[in-house]
Amino acid sequence: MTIQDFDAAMARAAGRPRFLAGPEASFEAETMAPRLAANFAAIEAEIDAPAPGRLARLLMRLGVGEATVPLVTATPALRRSFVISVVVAVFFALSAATNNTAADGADRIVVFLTLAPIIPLAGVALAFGPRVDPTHEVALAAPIDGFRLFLIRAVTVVGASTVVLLIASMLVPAGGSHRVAWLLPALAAVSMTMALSTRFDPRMAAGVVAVAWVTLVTISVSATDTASTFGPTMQVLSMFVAAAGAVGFARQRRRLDMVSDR
Amino acid sequence: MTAVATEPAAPAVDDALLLQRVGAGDRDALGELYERHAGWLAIRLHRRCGDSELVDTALQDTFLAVWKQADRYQPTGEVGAWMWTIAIRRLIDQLRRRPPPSPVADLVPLVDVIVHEIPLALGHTELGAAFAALDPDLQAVMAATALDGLTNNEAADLLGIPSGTVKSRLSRARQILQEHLR
Repeated sequence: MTIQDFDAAMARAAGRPRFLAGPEASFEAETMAPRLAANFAAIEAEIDAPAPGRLARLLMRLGVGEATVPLVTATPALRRSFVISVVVAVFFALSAATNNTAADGADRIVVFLTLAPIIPLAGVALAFGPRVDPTHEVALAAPIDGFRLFLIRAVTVVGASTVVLLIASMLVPAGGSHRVAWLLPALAAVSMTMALSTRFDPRMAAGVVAVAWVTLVTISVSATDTASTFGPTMQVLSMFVAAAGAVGFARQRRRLDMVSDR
Repeated sequence: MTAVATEPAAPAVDDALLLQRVGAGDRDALGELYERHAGWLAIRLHRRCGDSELVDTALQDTFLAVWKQADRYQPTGEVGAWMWTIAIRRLIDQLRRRPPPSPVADLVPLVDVIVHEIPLALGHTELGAAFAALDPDLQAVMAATALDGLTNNEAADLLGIPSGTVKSRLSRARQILQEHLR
């Protein structure tokens, strides 16, 4: 006998795996019967579970945790109606900005730049809170950190709308680097909204920030012009506001887990 | 399931046909396949991992894979053998994700394989005696690679040792066996 015989014997046995479980297997299986039944129930439940949607599968492939995916996909602002309205709003702003291709075309970009930060803002307002989120009560009752949930939702919405806006920015014919001058103000506005949302309804917070933003831009543009309004001063200021908002939000995070009828 | 022992068994639907029905989305066929195979699969998985939770998950994953990939079965070998290759790899997936927490759990795997399965595979032959003379560590490596058909890396995860160790133990084991069998 050689080592080849050994390999052959092993391969033969491996081809009859059931036999290897041994004569006592049926007895052992009987003692395991309740567990086997429970396992089959779990298998059937898994088969019957709804298949994850296209978005969920994409997220999982991107490495988002299995437990986080439903939180993201349940974001109210990700509903098709909202996404469509974002796209429509962006392209209306875009057409307003590009209609005057003549001399003052560069100036018309102000419509786009003013509207752009409001879109992620609206998304955040509709991403969290008792009025808009059908899973809000569930989330409050579940051991989910409200801070984390809000962050996940906000990142989702801001990410999605930023992609749309960036594409739109690329389509603006004039304006040069001004085309993306809305990015930092948008960040600041979202950050402020999140900070205020710890105390007020997110929709109210977003409304206040949006009104403040539009007022600020209107005053500044009528006093100076578009270029200087969206110039370095605003960018630096936006960064500070964004940082302040982030700090405020992180500090007041506990309030997000509180039940209120705001 | 209760079989009436006195009556001659009705011509059983063979596993391959059952698998074909599973591929067509037949839930009853999956249930029948589970009835036939889950028991021994669980027993053999248990001999390789002391953690029942991991074994249960691996078993569930196995039948979910069978449900989804029944059409990938090549009718060359036994259906059971095909299912076992899925099951052992699902178990290794589980071990990779969360290794057994206690060192005791590390000691359990494959001892049962050596005690139960290898003697069945080799019988009371010269081979069996030669294998029994090996050091248990070497036996375990042989069981994981030769019997379960695992790669060195997979065997390393199953045994909780570095894959280099698997390789060196494997060559030592084969050398000793060769000398015994000469």
